[in-house]
This record gives sequence, structure tokens and C-alpha cells, in this order.
Amino acid sequence: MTTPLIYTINGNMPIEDLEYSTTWEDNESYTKLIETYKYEGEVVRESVHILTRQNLNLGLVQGTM
Amino acid sequence: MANTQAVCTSFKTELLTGVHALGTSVTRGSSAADSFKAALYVATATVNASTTAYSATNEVSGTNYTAGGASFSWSAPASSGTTAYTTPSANISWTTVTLATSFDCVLLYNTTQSNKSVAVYTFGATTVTAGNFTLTMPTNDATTGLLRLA
Repeated sequence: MTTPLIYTINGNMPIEDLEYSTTWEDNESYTKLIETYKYEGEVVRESVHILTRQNLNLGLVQGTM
Repeated sequence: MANTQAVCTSFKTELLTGVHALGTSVTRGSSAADSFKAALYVATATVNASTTAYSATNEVSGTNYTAGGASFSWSAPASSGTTAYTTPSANISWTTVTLATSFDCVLLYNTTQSNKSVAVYTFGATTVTAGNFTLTMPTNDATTGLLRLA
């Protein structure tokens, strides 16, 4: 059976050798998911996914004559 | 029927599609949409409402990040109620990238029009190590569209 590998700063490494953890940041501006893989305490891979909530309104304003 | 004072909704949509030229510096030679890119900036940069165009100064750098950022397209501007809106048509992402210096913002800009800036979005200090960085777009509607003219 093939050993599942994942790409890291040290090249391809077996996923089973790595410590996987997730961190969430959630506020009115954005939601952020951080996926971290560590090998012997060192971060060897980290992915970040962000959902922005900052829907910018251009706010066109009509003046008066 | 009665007359009602308002900025016409169609005008808002048409601003997003470049129909109206209120100044004299606009020239039109094509009916094709402009091209846009998204560039990431380090947390110590000063990218804000005063930013007029893309600059490589304080842009992030690292493995598999190309200076200038990633290309994207806008969904066709539309309107609902009195609000015109648009959103990038797909998530903007960088694959297997390493960005070791903390970054916290993305600048959307128009590469067809001299890299003129469109909008800045911030998302808190971030680093990426040999991983993927994805900006997930919100639902494109009059309430959550990324860019709205209300």
C-alpha cells in the first residue's frame, strides 16, 4: 500500500509522521482557517484559507441642486 | 405616478462596466473587459484608500509567488433593488507557496488601465509555508457582493 505523502518545506513527507492542527480566526472582517503540519515541532507546511466579509460599499451619494 | 429623486440604478451598474465617462481622460478602443490582478502585501506596508496603483514596494515574495499577484475576473456587474454589485468570479489562490514574512492584505488592481487600484482587503497577519493560500469569495449578491454601489 502506498504511503500517503504531503509536500512540505522538506519535500514530500509521510502524512502519518506529521502533527496536524487547525486554527480558526473569526471576526466581522474575515474568517480564517490555518492548517498546520509540524515535524518534530517545526512547521513544515501551513495553508491558509480566508473568507472575507469586508463587502465594500462604494456608497454613491446624490447631492442636491 | 410620481417622480422620485435618485441616482439611477442602471448608472451604478454601468459605472462598473465603464459605460460612463464623466471626465475627459478616458479613451475607449475595445469592448473587452479589462484585466485584473490581486497582489499581496506585507503587514508593514501602507496600502489603503490612498493607494492609486499597484506597486512592487512591500509586496510579498517567496516560492511560487509571482510578483504582481494572481489574475482574476469579475462576475458580470448586476443590480438588485438600488444596489449594483460584483465579485471576483472565482476564489483567488496561490498553490504550494511559501510566504514567510507576515502579510495581511490584498490589493485588487486593473492591469489594463496602468495598474490602477480598485480595492484593498485586509485579513490579519498571515504566513504560509509550502502550502496553499486561498481567498474565498462571498456570495455575489446585493448584500454580500465584494464590491457594491448602494
